[in-house]
Amino acid sequence: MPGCTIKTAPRFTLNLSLTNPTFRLPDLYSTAKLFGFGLKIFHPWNNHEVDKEEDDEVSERETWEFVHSGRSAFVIIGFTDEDGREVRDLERCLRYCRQLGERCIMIKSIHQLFHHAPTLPKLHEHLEQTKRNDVHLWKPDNEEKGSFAFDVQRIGKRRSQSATRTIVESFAYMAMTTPIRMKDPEVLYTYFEEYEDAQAQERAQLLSGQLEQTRLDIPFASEKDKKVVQIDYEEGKFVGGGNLGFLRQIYFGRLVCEGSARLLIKKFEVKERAFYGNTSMESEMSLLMAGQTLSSAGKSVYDPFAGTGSLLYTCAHWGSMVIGSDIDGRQMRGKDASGPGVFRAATKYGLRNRILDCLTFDVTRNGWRRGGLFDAIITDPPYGVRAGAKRLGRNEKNGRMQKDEPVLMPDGTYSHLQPGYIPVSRPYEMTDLVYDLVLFGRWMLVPGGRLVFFLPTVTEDWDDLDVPVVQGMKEIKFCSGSSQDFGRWSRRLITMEKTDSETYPRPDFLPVEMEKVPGHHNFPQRFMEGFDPRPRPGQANESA
Amino acid sequence: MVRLITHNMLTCHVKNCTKDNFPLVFENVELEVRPAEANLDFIKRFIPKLEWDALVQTARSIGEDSLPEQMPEDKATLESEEFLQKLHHVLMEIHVEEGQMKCRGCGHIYPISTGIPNMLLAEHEVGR
Ligand SMILES: [Zn+2]
Repeated sequence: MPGCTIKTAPRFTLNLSLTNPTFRLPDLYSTAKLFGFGLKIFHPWNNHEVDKEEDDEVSERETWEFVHSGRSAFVIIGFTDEDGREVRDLERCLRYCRQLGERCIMIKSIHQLFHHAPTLPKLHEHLEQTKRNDVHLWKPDNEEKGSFAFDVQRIGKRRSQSATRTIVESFAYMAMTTPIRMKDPEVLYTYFEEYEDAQAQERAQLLSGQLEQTRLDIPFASEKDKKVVQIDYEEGKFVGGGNLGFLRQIYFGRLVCEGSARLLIKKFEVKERAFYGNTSMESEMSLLMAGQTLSSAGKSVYDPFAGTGSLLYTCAHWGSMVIGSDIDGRQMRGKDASGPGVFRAATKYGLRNRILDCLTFDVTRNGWRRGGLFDAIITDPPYGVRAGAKRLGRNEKNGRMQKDEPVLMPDGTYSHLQPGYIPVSRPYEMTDLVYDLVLFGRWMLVPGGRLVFFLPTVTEDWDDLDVPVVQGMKEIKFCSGSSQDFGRWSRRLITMEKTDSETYPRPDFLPVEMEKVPGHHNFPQRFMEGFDPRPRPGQANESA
Repeated sequence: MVRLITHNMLTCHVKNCTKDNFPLVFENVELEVRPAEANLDFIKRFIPKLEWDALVQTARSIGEDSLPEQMPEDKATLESEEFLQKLHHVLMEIHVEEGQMKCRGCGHIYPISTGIPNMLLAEHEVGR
């Protein structure tokens, strides 16, 4: 099998995590970009012949929507080179697969696809027809020493030994000459049956706008769906145990690799960490964000609202040199007397050397000497009610004006030079913060550098226009974008890229007026008030 | 921490302080030298962002004089492993754990404690 180039470009099945499906495409495409290959993506339930040119741009967009909806755990991919041509060299494809498996948080496993079909007889029909041509696919690399095993998985289905045996036996025509070895086989043939329940179908229709309402509390859409699905293999039907849903698709192939990046979710689990705070973000999200920065050895990444450092560790894990700053130094230090928590946690991960430094400062009053310092900026700005973002300066809305001169104490010393002096700070309005962040990114990033941040927003008020549009910065977005939904509010992952090599000015961090009041405006207050709808234009505005 | 690479990126940012605000001067420092695995690619990519004179001057002020007064002009020397290793040592392995950084322009003192510098400004030092 190594080194052979087959007539049609190899295709691969990705088995993806079902949680947070709107993060799949950014995860896959960022990894492809990092390693310098292109992805072609195919609908897993589309049963055209794989070598047929069925994928014009429209259908790729539809496939994106489908993957984004999370309706299926599977997607089928191929690879393209820098000229957009499909990569046919199998070894090269397998290398790309391993790179995806090592980096993509959403990938559970990757399989070289032999064929997929809606039923088992259809699958066999195709495999038997193509057996002569594709015989090299079936064989272990070393036939003498080789061994194989079958892995039958039925997604959305109860385990049944007899059904598994029936399935394995139905592949007898493959006439394997090598021994079966269940433990560490050289080749693992993988057979997935994917079922879909009516509920999932409804949910997907709801997401894609085909349905306006759903009855998600009712497990099945109709009495008919509840019936046991009786299918007989010889008749092309499935028998037994089928009370969970309909057979959607069968994928048959061989395992290329497991998704090893998923193991990092456990490694960076907040509770496993030497040091964490109340607002440390869950590790899966911080890994997904780090992926968006295209972090790798030799790059520099900065978090201007570093907090307890969650995002620094995951970027450093991929090789970046990281810097964090926060207006609240206590967050980085923690309470332990044995030294700053952010350094202790980094040491535990073996990443201490990749933390360049952590600094206490307000990013709106930053001491950066010049722009263009970083390859990426990553941040999860604070938005909780008590832990909302702060900036230096006095809140003059409370009636007291900001002082322009230092305050001389009765003993002849200045107040700001006293030990324990804490400078005054005021709330940093979310609209201003997000706008400043984009301008800051434009100033501070190298050309092609990325700004990656979480944006909390009131779901009902969200609009694509909420992400500031400025020259030189472009949002990288798939479908409706990536978000974690919590009902009335959600957290959206925003990825932007600096598109040109212009030198932009240092932002002035002055308040902004946006044409539309964004969904993140006054977020901490609205969070506290339970997200009551805003008065619509024309209605009386009490606060005016 | 406070490595010289970070120091080289920082300037005084007190309101209206625009003269002699870089580099900040180290005072009363406690140093630690911690050997670190070298990432020469990172160092190489960072060279264009360095202020060389400030780096040499600051390194000498804390007793580190391995760097030449002038940045090597020819690319071969600049990107040689020997030179990058030297730079790696100065930029990445020397840590200022305690002490302060003082602005020569306005006199503001940025204290460093357990490796974390406090770059916050007093009320009268920030603009509106
Ligand atoms: Zn100054």
